[in-house]
Amino acid sequence: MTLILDRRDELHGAPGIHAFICGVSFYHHIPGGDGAPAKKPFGLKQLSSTATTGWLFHQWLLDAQKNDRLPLELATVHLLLSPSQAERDAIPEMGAVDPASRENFVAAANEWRDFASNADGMTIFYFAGHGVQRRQNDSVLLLDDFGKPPGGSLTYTVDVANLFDGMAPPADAARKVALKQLYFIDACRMPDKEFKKNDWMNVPDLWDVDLNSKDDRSAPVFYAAIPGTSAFAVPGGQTLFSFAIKSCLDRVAAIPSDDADPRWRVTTTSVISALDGALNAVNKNHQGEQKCLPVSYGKDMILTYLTDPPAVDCVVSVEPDLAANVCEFKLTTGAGKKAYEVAHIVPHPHPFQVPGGFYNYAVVPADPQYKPAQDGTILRPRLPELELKVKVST
Amino acid sequence: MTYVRFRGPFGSTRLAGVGVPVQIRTPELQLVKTVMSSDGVTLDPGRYIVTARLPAGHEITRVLDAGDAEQTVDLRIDTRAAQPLESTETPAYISQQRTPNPVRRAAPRRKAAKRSMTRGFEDYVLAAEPISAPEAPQGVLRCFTGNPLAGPMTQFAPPSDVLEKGTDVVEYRIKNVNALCFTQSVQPDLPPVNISLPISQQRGCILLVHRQPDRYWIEVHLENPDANLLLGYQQNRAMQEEAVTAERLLEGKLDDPIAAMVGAYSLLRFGELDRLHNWSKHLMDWMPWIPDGAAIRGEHLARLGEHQEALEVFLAVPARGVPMFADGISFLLDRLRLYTSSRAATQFPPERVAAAKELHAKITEFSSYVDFEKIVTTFTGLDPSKPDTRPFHGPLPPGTDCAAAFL
Repeated sequence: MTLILDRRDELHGAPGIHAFICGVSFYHHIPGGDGAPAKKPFGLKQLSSTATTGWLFHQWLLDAQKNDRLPLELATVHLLLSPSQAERDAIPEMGAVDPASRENFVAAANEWRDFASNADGMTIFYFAGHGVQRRQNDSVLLLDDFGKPPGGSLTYTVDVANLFDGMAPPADAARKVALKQLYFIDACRMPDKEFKKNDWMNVPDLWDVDLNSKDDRSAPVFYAAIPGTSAFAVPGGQTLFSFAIKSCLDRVAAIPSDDADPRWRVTTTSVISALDGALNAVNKNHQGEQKCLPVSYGKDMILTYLTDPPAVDCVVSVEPDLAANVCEFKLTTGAGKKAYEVAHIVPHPHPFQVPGGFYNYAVVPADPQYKPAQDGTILRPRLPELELKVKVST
Repeated sequence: MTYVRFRGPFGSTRLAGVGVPVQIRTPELQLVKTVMSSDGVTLDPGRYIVTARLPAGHEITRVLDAGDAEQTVDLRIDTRAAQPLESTETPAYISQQRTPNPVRRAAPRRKAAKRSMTRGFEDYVLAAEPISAPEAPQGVLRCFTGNPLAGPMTQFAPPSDVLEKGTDVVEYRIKNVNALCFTQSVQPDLPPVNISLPISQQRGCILLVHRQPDRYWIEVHLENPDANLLLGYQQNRAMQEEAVTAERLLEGKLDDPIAAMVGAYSLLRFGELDRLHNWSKHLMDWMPWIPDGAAIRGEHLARLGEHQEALEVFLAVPARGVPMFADGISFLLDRLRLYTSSRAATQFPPERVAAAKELHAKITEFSSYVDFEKIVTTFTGLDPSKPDTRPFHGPLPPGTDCAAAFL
């Protein structure tokens, strides 16, 4: 089963979100696989978390739809997964999904593009698996039959540029494509010495790419790795990039409303601004060293809404440190409602968590050698936390 | 109604008049207006929350109770009486914060990381370099002019007069000139790094040499403070602020082609194709020696679907040289790849496709040494016309002595 969700009839032609998610952990033709060995396996190994990453992203989308967080109704989901045995054991439902072979990918991609024929619609593409880079600015995604003999080394792969170019508004004005597109490329971009020897190594086209008509897409591409570097994953868990993206979509990249809908939201630009910090936090937790590269293309767009203001981790400190023991800290909402209060700012700095929003704060020293301080501020997610430093020295 | 002015956020002479985007919200966080701090704003009486974000990530929040009288909101971070130095403010508030070093030494990896992580997707070897006590770093700056795509470059006198000096940063001014120029940092055991100098007849640029315990790293800043702020937002991926700043920059009458290019790259990034209008053509014709004018015009035409004309414009790039900004190289790589692909190539005259293939191969080879995390074109190699990744060994060549600059 590839098309695991199809609500097109329900939407009666209204624009919706068409998602295409592909996660590959098990590769048939690299060491540990069950097929004839690839002639040039590029030193690759079996993976243990990328199919799970695809699965979890698809679950996130379904949850977001259920909680009315998406900017448009979720219309269709194409899902291809090639999990490892351990992943199958952990999440048996993955076994019912079609494998991420080149043939399945081509069929799913073409259907996905056909479905996304409303210019007001939106597409989401997520790939997690092995990737290589033949040259700068290049990204090739390896499908589960990568290296299948005979044929070229990259016959069972996909060129991201071909995928992206094929989603541009077609030259034939009568044909439309969703102009909001989102790409997550959760794969390495490591060059291999083989590419120097064999020039580019061709990747078969996914589809015929006609030169575009006016390309006014909003189509950011979030690469998990900068050119020439690797992506990382927690074995048996999920990829670091997916942790960071999820944290951005759910909280870290949330910004207050700038339109009539009062809900906090996550936009392309807010994710681009927050992603480095989110990935650094994930790196810290998992001792990783990944760096990602978001490439913006077109106008800002809303990716998701939050049902409630995001939780904001804050720390308050006073200067001088010695005053912490004799200072009371009070936080009230813009409407004057008590939000947080502590008689002494200990431990110092003092951590607390409140929902995002505007707050007034006051630091009241019991000792007259210090001066009281009060002000207002917007508390919104920051990593590792939002620091509130208050000077009470006279 | 109340008229509100802003003071700051910068205090140094060079940056004093620079405006940053300011958001004005109600206490319920409904957005009222986004303005530039260099402008005033008229507001209804009431309470407002004013926020501004600087390129390096500092966020300034002020609460404004607007009454009937004119008011000034102080956005300064540093409110001390003494005027801050440019060499202090620029690195602190504008410089890039993500990846300061164009080339990093291989860092020793932690064994714990090896245990708990899989490097996605490929095995790797732990770097064996030990952590050792830092020595006083050595390094020289050199300068080149010419077209790296066309052969050997000409060396010219490197900067020698220090514009300003801080504890760990020295500033040089690169004078304005109508030529494609590069600065090169040569340090022992590191690949020499070449950085494009975004200068024109109208404006020079500022070279910042940062001293670290074991090396120097070089940053280029535009002399035009507004464009430099925009570049800071770009480099630090502060895109909401970048969009507002770019729009504002291009509203003004620009006499600085480099600033115009920086703004145009932003407009392309944000898909503001209509706003670029004929402006990209003007940019291309205005300064025929600047490669970026052709790269911007070509990408603009390509996005408009004018592919025949776009290819002609892209083919004009090699005669001009390597774009000063990495976005220009990306545009060339991506478009030439598309135009030389088998299906698309049938839509162009064969001789133009052949020329495009030749250029694509040349740019692809060159771009192997380009750091695409940098906004300003940055690549490695002792000979800028033959980039490579070889570390430099041996006696340092003549040039501006970085160590001496800090004495």
